[in-house]
Amino acid sequence: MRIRITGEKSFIDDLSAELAGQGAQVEPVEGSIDRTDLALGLLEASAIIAIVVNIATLIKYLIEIARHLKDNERRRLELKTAAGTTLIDVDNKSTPENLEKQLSAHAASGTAPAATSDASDKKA
Amino acid sequence: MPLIKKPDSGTTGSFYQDDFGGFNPRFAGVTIRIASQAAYDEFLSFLRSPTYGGLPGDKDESLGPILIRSVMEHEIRHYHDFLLGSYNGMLFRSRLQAVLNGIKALRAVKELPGDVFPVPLSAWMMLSAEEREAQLEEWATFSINGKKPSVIPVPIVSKEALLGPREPGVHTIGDDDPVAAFSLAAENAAYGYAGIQALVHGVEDSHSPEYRRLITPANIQEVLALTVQLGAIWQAQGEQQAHIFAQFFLGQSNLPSARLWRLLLDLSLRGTPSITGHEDELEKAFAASFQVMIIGTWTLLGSHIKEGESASPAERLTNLLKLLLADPAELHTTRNAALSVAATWDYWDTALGLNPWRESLKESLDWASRGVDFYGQLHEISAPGWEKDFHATLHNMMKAYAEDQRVLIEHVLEQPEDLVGVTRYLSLSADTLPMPLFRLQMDNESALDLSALDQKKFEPVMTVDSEGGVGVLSYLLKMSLPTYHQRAGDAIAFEYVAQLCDMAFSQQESYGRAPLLKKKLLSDLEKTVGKTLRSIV
Repeated sequence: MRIRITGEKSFIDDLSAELAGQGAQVEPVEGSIDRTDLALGLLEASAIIAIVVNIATLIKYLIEIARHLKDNERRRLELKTAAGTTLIDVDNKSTPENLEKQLSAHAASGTAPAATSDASDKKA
Repeated sequence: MPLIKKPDSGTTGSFYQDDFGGFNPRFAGVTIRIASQAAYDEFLSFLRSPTYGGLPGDKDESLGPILIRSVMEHEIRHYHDFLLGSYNGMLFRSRLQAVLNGIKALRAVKELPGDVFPVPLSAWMMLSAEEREAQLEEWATFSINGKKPSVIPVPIVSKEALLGPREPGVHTIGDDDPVAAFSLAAENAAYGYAGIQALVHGVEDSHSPEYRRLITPANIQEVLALTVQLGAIWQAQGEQQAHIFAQFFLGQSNLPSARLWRLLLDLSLRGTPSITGHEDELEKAFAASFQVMIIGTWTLLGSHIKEGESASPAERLTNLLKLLLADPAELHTTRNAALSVAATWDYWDTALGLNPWRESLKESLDWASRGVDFYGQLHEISAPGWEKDFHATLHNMMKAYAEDQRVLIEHVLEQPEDLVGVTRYLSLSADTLPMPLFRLQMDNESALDLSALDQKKFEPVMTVDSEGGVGVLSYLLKMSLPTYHQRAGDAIAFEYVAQLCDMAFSQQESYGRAPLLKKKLLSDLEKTVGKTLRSIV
């Protein structure tokens, strides 16, 4: 399953290293951020494509990285699969159950996808 | 979605947000982002205190409020640089062309066979038959019945073809051939988006990896806006706030724009006798402000029509840095008070064998004028209906752009110092240079209760129905300009269509922006095409 993950660069770098360390395939994504956007932002965005067996595997690695965040520190991630795009916030209190719920729309067939406005499976 | 009466990040009193505003040629104005109750209150308080009477005064405080109180000056500078440069002109015109064709393609999709609309369409276009088959296999795992979906017919176009030169041609397509009409419009839109990507990334790719992420048109424009913002903070808020801002961007931040700012500061201060090396970030920033602005502004003065890719601000900065570093004496040209801004720019143009900056600016005006004529004719020959209405919007947008550009460029030709000296620039009266539209956008999962919106000051733009009322996702600051209503209507109409087209065609995405807005746009795109959206990852 291919998942594009966009987020703050240092978090994405850590996640990328964690995924690679666990044997998951990771591809860098060049040119995916809209550079016509001039944002007064405090964080640099970066993206990777992770190829994992399922969402649960990704969640395991996300939790591993998020637990190193400081208290009150939060990272916003944009996850994109064939089914759509979901924006999630992770912090050191994120749990697998909480992330599973947020990412349920990306579950492939065999699990029940939750209907959302941006990840519709209703017509397929 | 529960209606949130006021924006709130979920943390009472928290001012955390990592994005305060932005500028993008999709919207002919600037956007202020509001991500928390504290940010909303702070911005409103700032708006209600035009004489700065409501500001807290020179004191130690956190970065967030300092940024939200100075975001307008930062974004106004982006708007002026957008009007000034031929690089930004190319981006704007490429976007108009992409959207002109993109919406035509999207409105033709409903008539096509197939159940699935691949997103982004330009990526699907570039897939070979074998690659498309592999993608269908992946999509099958997301369908309820496990079968491969049936995709709308889309021509295969290679990446090389999309980025290569195009032969002009006249195409006649009957109204009864929706597949041909869709294919032609979709291909033209994809060419437009490929052009935007080439403008943004083309020169970047030719740099060494060390500078690829640093010397980009976007980062150069950020340095200009940050330098202006620092001056605005100093003037309106106080020295301590200016210290906090400088300390973050010039001391702590690892953002590419901050690193480029540091690089330009260090370069500008090399060999300066009065610099001891012990100055703090703020002192350095002020000491080098004029040099940084004269360099940064000059990088925007190329002529894409005559010079092609070498007119990119990134290419111009790279070449100027080589010139300045090759001979330390050259650095003094940026500090020589006797040499005017105009003379310095003349000197660099000659030394680098470039199109003279005055000519570049005049060419930009002529090009904009031809653009007004083109969109005017397009509107005239359009058949009545949605297309004619949209072409009227494009024509109006082009007229507004050309008019604002004329005012700015005529001023710069007369008084280039006004765009380079930060104090001079900030002291210009409000009617000297064109002012952009201001739009506020809610970030996070929040919407403003419509009944709580001060409609004397703001005009709701995008709303969502919610439990118990209507939530406002974005709203415009009302202005006293006589053309305000026309401009606002056109800018909003164009941006809406541009966002749909961007989602449908472009591989580049805005990261982490207003999730409710994004959901609504995705839902609208699905309704427009009447198919299920499937993403290529």
